[in-house]
Amino acid sequence: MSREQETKEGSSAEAGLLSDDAAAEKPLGAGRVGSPQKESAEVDISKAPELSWRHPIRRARYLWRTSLQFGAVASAGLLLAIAFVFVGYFLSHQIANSLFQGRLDQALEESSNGFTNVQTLLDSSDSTGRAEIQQDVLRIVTVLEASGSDSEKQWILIPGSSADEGFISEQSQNDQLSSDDVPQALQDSVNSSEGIFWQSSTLEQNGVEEPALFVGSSISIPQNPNYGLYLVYNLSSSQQTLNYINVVVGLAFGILLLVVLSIVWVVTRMVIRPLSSTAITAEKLAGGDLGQRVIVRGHNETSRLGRSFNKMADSLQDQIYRLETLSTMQQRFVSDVSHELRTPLTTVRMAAEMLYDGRDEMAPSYKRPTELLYNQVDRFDSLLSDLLEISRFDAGSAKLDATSVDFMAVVNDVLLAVEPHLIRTSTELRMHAPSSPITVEMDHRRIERVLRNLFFNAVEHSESQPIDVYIATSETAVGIAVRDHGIGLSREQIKQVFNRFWRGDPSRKRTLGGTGLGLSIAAEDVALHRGTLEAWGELGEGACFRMTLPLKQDIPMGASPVLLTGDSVDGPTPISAKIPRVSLDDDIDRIDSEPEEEN
Amino acid sequence: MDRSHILSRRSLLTAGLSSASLLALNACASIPSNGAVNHYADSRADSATQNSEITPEGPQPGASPEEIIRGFFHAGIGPDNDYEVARRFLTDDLSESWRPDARTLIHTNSLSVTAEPDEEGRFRATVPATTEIDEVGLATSFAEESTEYLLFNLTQVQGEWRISQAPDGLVLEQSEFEQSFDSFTLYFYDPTFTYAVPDVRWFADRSSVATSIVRVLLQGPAPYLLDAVRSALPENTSLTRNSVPINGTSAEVSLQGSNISPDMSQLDIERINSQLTQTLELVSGIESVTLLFDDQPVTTNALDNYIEPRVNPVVSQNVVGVDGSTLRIRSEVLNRESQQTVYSTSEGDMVHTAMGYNRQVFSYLSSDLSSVYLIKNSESRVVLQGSEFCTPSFDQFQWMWVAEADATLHLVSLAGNDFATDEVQADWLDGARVSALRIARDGSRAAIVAESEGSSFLWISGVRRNADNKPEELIQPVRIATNFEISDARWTSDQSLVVANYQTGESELVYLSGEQSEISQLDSLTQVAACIGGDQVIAQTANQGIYMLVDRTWSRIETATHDFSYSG
Repeated sequence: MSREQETKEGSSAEAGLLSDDAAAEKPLGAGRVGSPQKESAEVDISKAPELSWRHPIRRARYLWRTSLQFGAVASAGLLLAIAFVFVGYFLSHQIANSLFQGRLDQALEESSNGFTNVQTLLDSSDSTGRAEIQQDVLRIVTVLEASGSDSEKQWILIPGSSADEGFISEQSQNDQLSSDDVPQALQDSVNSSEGIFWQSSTLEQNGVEEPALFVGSSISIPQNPNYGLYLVYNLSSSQQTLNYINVVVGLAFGILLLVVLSIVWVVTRMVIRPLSSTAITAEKLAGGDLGQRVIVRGHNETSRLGRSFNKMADSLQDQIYRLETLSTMQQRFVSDVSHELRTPLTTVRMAAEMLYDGRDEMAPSYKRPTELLYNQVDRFDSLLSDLLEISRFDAGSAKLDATSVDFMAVVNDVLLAVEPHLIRTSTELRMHAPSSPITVEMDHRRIERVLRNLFFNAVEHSESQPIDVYIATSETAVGIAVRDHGIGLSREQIKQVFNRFWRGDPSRKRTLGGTGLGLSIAAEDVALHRGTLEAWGELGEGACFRMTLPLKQDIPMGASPVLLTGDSVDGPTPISAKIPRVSLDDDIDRIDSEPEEEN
Repeated sequence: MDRSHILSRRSLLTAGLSSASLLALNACASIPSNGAVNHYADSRADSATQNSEITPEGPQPGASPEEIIRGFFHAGIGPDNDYEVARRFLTDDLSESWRPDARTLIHTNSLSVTAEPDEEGRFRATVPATTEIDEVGLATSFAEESTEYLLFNLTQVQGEWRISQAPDGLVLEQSEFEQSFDSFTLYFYDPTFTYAVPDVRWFADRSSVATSIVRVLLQGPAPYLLDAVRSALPENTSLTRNSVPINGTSAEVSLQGSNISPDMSQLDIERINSQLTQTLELVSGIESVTLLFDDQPVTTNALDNYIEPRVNPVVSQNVVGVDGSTLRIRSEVLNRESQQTVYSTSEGDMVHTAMGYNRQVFSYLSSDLSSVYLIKNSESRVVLQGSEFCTPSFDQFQWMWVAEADATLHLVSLAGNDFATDEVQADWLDGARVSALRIARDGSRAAIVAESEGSSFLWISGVRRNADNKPEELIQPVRIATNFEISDARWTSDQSLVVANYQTGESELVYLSGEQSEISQLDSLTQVAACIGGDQVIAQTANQGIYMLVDRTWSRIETATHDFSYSG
């Protein structure tokens, strides 16, 4: 079990039977109970299909983290876009400036000449009388229409601001232009001082506001106060030119951006593709398909990577094959040996049994050796069975034969078996269990063996103190704790309790047999069920062994429904069952599917 | 990668994208559509608004109606800003419609202003006018003062008297007139466009005078020249804008009209250009003319063999004179060595000589003034018989003019050898006694000295010719005033004549503009002769003393030859 889960269980020991936190915590791995949980986001590729285009930002973030190509293209695109925006900004403003400045200079030059012309014509006219002067003014102002190359130029004559008004009304080149179109600030400047003034503003034509340039100067008309003569230049053509240039530049930049991104994409692809195909092959290899190899093309660095990967895979495959062969050989040897041993052993056992049965008719000096012989042969037989069993576990060829069985029925069977010994030792056994059946998917033969081991151990070590058995279930697990109040075990002993051939007190008389491999085999059996077997002990207080099994093999177990200690004593860090590792060669990486040890 | 790292990268990304998009929005610059008012340039250097420095006084507060009227007349000397000062004497309504250039009356004595009886606010100005300038600047001098009566209505405007009704035109005293007006010459041409014929007008001297001149030029010549001269400007031509602006020293004349088009023959265009240039060159500040048709510039000076009509052509200084019974010709009156014989007569004296412009034909009268002799090809013959002939005069179209005292104007054809004679019509001369008939160098004008009703007059009349340039009529003339009764006149230039009284010996130079220039008196003056355009005038006294005019005085020349005469 992971450290996290165990600490949570430790705290929950105070809280109550069920631990919600532990139940609530969902491991990040997909249904792999007890698998190592690394801190936060290791990206799970299998999650990718869930993200759809409806969450583009999430998908983009996902792509950014998983795809180097996407990252390269995205950052290139972003930087390039920023650069283009700056350059485009600069370009656009320079062009606008130059266009406008050019038009402005031309317009001012034209206007200056035009105004001078008009004033000279007015000064040289010999008209007298209102009607003549009025007619003159109208004809003279038309000089502004003829001269100059700009057809987007219009004149407008507006009375000045003096109190006494002249007799010439406001005139303009076309009816749409009126004094409202000329900015008031410009009119004020023209009316108040001599000289030519200009201002940028907008002009409404056909409902559209267009940029326009207003140039004005005051002119003097005979028998009238000064008037303001204005020339209005419509700059919409310049604006259109500018817009066109902007569009062209924008398009050009856009195309350039696309081209650069394509280049980046192609270049990174050259690097990434071999890398990612190597990664995929490695994943397949890790998944168990040892025949996977990388397709190698060319002679560059990535092909070198591919080649070395392939060599590594070859070597791995080779080693594993050898391992497997070795394991098979070993297993067969053990099996063969045990079978071979069994044959003479059976004979010896039969003989010993016969002798044992007839011990009462033997000479008193042969009685004891016959008992000894019978017991030791019996023990030899058990040891042989246990050894065979252990060797199967070590070779990894132990099989779980799981069926849905009533857990309580199995417990009852074991209780029946242990009952004579309870009577014999006058030990009280107290059951704390639900009355209803508990259906568990398990190998009942193995679990029975485990329970038998736990109970017999408890009886052995309880010193006639009562034994408490606690059984409880959660939604996902069933737990049983066997608590004796006998000699107990120290912390150091607890650490070694699951070791092979370990005896707490070597001098202790074994009344119930035992090969020293019982707990080890029990631990292996429980581990095969993906359950947990934990021990607790306190010298002089007793010991408690807790087994937790998942109700169904495909559902994660969660926390144990039973307390480890059975008491309200602070739960010390329990010792979990430590499964011995197969160690063939130090260099080969361990295939670690078991929980880590923690201390 | 842990959470916090992702967050910071995410926020960096967001910041980068948002700033980029902001920039992108601003990146598309546009033509500015608002801004502050900027000053481009100071007002152009004062264009040629020459203010005549005369600024008359405006109406005084509390002035009486008579003072208003007199002030109004006096304000006529300030033409600036369209007689702005004079208009102040008028009500607003009248000031908009009053036209000062309709006519100008010039008087020498004081005029009088009286109130009209029985009419409130109505006044009468009695003006003893000596000269009237009409709308087109033609000056007419009255032999006697012509009394003009001008009626005015005055009303009170805000407590002050103002004129509410007045006749158009100015009324100026002689000195005021000389101060504010100036004479200008329009040029027209003889039918062959060889010589320019001056037409003198008077205008108020102000900056817009060029416009007035061109406008009046387009209206055609004075009545006395009508049909006698040609204008290069076609009919129905007008200024595009009633304004002739002066750019630097070039006057810009833009013409329009049904007969004006850029497709006109280059010769016509050159002639128009010549006419305008010759006319406007005399205005101070103008040295050249830019010609436009409908505001389109027209190329001028583009004709290779174009000869401009000559203004005030100078006649050669050759003189013909009588020495005994021989007619001699000298290159110059003082150059005796160049003398050559033209013809020797055996019959009596030769008086009143005349010479053709080509110096191939000569003429003289018999001493009793009853026969006119013509010398051609060294042969003399009588071409006319009559009584009291005047000195013959030649024109450039091969005609010789001789006037008889009874106002018969004879013509002698010099082409060929027929010497056919004819007469020129001049109805207006009927009843007058003609004492001189001189044809100007341009052949389009005749100066006539005639006496009628006891007074002598100097007339300038246009010569109307037919299609073959044969003179047919002398047009109703214009009179040039002289300071004394005159007996004879000679052209001294295209715009001036020397006139003489052979009884008193008085002589003076008179100009078409009406000005006169005094010459010292010469006792027993009998003859004058002048080189047209050549600044030489010769006088002869009774004892055949020959005098030359130097600086308005006569200085004697020692010579035995007499009866000198220049071509013409």
